[in-house]
Amino acid sequence: MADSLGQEGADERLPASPDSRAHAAAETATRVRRLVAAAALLVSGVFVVAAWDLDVGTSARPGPGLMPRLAAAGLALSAVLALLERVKPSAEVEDAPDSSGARRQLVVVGTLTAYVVALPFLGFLLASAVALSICSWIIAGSHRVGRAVVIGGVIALAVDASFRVLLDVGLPSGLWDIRTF
Amino acid sequence: MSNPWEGLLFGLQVAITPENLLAALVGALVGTLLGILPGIGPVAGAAIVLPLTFTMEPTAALIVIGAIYYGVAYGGSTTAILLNIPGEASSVVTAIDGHKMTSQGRAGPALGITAIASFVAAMGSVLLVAVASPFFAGIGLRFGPAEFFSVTFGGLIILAVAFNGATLASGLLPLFAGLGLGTIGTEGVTGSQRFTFGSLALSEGVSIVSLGIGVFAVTELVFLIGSTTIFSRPSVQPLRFRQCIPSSTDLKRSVLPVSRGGLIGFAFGLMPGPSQAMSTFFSYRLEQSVGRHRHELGTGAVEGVAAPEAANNAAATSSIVPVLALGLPFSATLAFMLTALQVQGVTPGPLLITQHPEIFWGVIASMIVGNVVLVFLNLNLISVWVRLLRVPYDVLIPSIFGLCIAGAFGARYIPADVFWIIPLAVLGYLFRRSAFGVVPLLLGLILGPLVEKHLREGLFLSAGDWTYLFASSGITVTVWLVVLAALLLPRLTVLLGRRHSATAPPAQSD
Repeated sequence: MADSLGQEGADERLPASPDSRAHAAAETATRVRRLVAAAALLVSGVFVVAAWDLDVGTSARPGPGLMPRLAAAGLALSAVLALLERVKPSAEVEDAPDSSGARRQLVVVGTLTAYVVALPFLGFLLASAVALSICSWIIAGSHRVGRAVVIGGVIALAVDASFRVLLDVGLPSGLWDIRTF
Repeated sequence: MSNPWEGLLFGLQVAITPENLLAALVGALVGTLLGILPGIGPVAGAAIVLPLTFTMEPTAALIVIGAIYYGVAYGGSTTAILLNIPGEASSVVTAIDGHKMTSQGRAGPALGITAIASFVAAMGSVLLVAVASPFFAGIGLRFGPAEFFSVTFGGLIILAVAFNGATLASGLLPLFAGLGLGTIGTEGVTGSQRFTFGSLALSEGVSIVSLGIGVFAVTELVFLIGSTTIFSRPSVQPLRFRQCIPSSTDLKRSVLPVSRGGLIGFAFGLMPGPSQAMSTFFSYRLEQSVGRHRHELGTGAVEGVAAPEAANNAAATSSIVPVLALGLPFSATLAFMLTALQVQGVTPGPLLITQHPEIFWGVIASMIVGNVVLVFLNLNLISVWVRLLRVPYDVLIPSIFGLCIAGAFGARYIPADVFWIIPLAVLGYLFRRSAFGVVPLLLGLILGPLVEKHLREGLFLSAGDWTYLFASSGITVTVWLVVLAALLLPRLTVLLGRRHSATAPPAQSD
């Protein structure tokens, strides 16, 4: 008994083997895959409904409604297939981040979302300076706000100037026409 | 211009004009940079560069994107050798012996051999492409809507099924999602609005630049942000050009591996699939079987760097031919080359060689120029590339985000193109977390309109006879047989393997 208890204790302290990690990753990937497949099935249904008014035409003269229906059918079939399949442990799957990594990801994606929404109103220079400063601060993982502000500002200036002057590509200047040149 | 040597000379005349020389230089530098930097690979880089090519001549536009494509191979090898972090899948094998050489204090010769092997193999591949081009021109005369449909749609299925995921659905679901995304917007033939819901923004459709940036750049960076590696930067020893000159022994030992690798790479580049990565594995395996110093492979043998690098770059060169000659890109980066051609009003395909020889031969010959630029610049700029590897992530990642947003807007000056980046990045993230391929998504979006065009043309020509699209000629039958084989063979192999292990006699115990 003592030996088995000792043995169990020893097993708990041992790190997970690569095989068991691969299996766990495959199980997680399968769960996410089923969610994605279910969403794809729903989207294919929405596609068919939205394409209802589009003319399918005839076999000899196919209309604009044919391709969306074919794509939706293919999506639905492959979604059903995905629901039935399991991801093998040997498959290449991205690892899930730890909780702090997931938090960083969510904050950065939220910042980028606000960035693209604000772009037409604030203009590229101002929106980039703010958003990229926030991203820099999150990635640095430190409290050096001043450094992040300088980095975001310099990048915004450099990209705005490069695109406008060197590449002759106009970027949004926003409601107050803020830009480098 | 049926004589390939005439074509190549003509192409060189086109390639050495100031605009095209500059395009090759810029593409080569950008490509190397993309190969070295994490989080932004050739697809995202081509997506950002693509809108900037709209104002260029078609030849210059293709030269830039082509140079990015094979320039990335050089950059990816640099990080593989110095840091054991392959910049691209095609550099994974190089890291095996390349990083061992770095540990032995021979990083310089490893990088030098990489540059020389890549250059020599790419040059050989260009010459082979020139010789093979009349064959493609001949095939072109036999292509009609059914053949185009078979090659485009059949090729897409092969790519999705054979090379993009752990299971059948791993490639097919993203492919059909991409085809579906490609139907959003104004339909080309009748001008019908599809899935626009009265929105002007949606009537412009989903930009491939947005998809390339969202799925390939932003997604990659989000994964990087979630990992713990962003809090550290690798330490890299400074290197100078003189240290990168390989010894005469290294050069002598590399001759046969480069020759073998180059031929393997050329062949792989003409086939669908991740040709660069596959060619490196195959050439390394061959060296392990027949190489004179095969027993040293894995311990820092120069052959372990020379062979896969030769294969890699030869494949990058020859894989441009299916894009130009068949209009079928076998990789996401080359799909942007196709788009660049379409935007310029040039139809890629078998007739490109005869209808636009300046484009076909100009691009082929520019690979000579581009590789010359790469071999000299990369070695001379090695200290710059090494310094770039030390840039902290809190500077690098926001810089790339800024470039992505500017690049996405600059494609069509439509705010919606920037908005699309976020949902597409989320889609890319979910796909990669659940073993779905992302390349079929991009290829579906880019080639979907072409597939639809050929489908409708074929049905119109055949008065509604669907068999015309599948069995009207030897080419269509061959393509669909290959598709069936790609769909069924892997499954049959697994089934047969299970039956064999079930019926095998049990092992004898002592």
